[in-house]
Amino acid sequence: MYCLSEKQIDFILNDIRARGVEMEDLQSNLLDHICCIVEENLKEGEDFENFYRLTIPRFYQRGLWEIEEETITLLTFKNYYAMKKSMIVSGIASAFLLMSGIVLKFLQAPGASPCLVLGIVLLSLVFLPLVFTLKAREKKNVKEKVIIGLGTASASLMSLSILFKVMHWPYSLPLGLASAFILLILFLPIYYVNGIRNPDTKVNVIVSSILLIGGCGLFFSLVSMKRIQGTFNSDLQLFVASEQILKTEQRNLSLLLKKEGKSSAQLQTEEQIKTLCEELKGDVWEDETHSRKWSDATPDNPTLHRDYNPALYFGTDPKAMAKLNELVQILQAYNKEGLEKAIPEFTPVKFESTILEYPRDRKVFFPSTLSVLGNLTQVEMVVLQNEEGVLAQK
Amino acid sequence: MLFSSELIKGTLKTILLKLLADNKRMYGYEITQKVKDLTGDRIQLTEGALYPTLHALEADGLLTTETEYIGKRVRKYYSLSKEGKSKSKEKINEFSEFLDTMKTLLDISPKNA
Repeated sequence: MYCLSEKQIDFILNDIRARGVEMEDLQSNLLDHICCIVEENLKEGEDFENFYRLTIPRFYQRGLWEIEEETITLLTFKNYYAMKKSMIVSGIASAFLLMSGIVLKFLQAPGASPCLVLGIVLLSLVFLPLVFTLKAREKKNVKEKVIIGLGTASASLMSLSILFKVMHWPYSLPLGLASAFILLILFLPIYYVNGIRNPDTKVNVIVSSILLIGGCGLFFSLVSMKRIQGTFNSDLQLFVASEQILKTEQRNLSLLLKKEGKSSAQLQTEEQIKTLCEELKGDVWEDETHSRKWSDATPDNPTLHRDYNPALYFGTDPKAMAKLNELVQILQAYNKEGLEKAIPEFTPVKFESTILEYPRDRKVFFPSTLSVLGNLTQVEMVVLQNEEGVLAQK
Repeated sequence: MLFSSELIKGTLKTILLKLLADNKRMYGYEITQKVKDLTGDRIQLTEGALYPTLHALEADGLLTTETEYIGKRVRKYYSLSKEGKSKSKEKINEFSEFLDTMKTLLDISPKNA
C-alpha cells in the first residue's frame, strides 16, 4: 500500500480548495476519499502527481465544485416537492380567487375585494416567488437564473401595482413604473439577446418579446400619466380657488354682520357647520398627507395621492365618523328648519353622492381626497349663500 | 453490465441506509467499495452523487457522524440515527413494493419463469 506524505496530503487539500470546494466538511470527505484511492491503487515508486492528475477527473463532469453545488442544492431544496406542491396549489387558488373577484366585481356583489386582494397577494407573494425559486434551480446558467429572477420580480410588482390601483391604495403608480422598468430595460434586453442566439428558441423569443412589449404598451395606455396628472392638477387648482373664494366671502359676510350690529356668534348653527367642516377638511388632509397645513398645497406641489380612498379614514376611525355624523345631523336639522320656515332664497345642503351620505351608505365611492374636501367646501358655500340671502332680504 | 446512473439515482438513499443498517459505521470510500463488491462491479457510486446524498441524509437527521484522524487527514464515519433505522426499513419496504409493481408492469416474472 502506498503511503502518502504530509506534503502530498496538503497538495491534494489545496487542489480541492483551488477547484472551488469551500465546505470544510466536504473538503475532508473528498480528501480522505482521494487519499484512499491513491493508497490502494498507486504502487511504490510510481509518479504520484501523474496518478492524481488522471484520477481527479473521474469525480466530476465539468469541475469538482459540482459536488459542492449538488450538496448545497440537496440541502437547500430538501423540501423541493413540498415547494412544488405549494406552487401549484397557490397558483390554482390565486387564479380561482381572481376569476371569482372579477365576476363578483362585475355583478357588484359583495366579496369582490377580499377575493381580488387574496388572489393577487397569493399570486405575487407566494406563487411567483416559488416559480422563481424552483425554475432558477432547474437552470444551470447564471444568465438564465437572472432572466427568471427579473421576469418574476417584474410580474410580482405589476400585479401588486394593479392590486393597489384596484383598492385605491397609494403608490400604485411607482410600483407599476418599477415593474415596467425591470421588464423593459433589464429583463427584455437580456432575454432577447440570450434567446436570439439559440436557433431553437429564436422564434419563441421574438414572439414573446413582441407580446411583452405589446402587453406593457396596452397596460400603460390605460394609465396615461400626463392625463391623470393634468386632471389632478386642475382639480386641485379648482379646489384651492373655491377655498379662496369661500374664505373671502366669509370675511365679507362677517364685516357686513358687524355693520348690522350682529356678531357671527349669534348665528350658532351656521358657525357649528363651518367649524365642523373646517375640522373635517383638516382631518382628512392630515390623514393622507400627515400634515395639518392642508391649505398650503399648491397645484405645482401636490402632496395628495391620486389613488387614496378617503372613505377608509371614516370607515376605520370612530372619532372621525362621530364628527361626520354630528355634521350630518346638524345639516339635516338645518335643512328642515330652512324649508319649514320657508326662508326666502333658501337652498338646502345636498347630501346625495357626497361624503354626507357615507354614514348611511358605506358603499359610496370617493375617487379622491379632493372630492371629499370639495364636498365640505360646497356645504360651507351653500350655508354662506343662505346667510347672505337672509341678509339681502333685510 | 454497469447500471446507468439514472437508475441508481432514485435508489441511492435506500442503498446508503441499508448499507449503514447492516454495518455499524462506514466512511465514504468504504461505502463505494462495499457497493462495488456486493454488486460485482455492476453498481459504481460516483463521488458526485455519494457525498451530497450523505450530507442531505445527515441534515435530515437520519445519519449521525463521528470523525477520526488518520495521520494528517480527517475521516468521517457515518452511522444510522434512531430515526434513520426506521427510515431504512420504510425505504426498503417501499422499494420492495416498487420492484413487485415494476415486475408486474413490465411483465418480467413470466419470462424469468
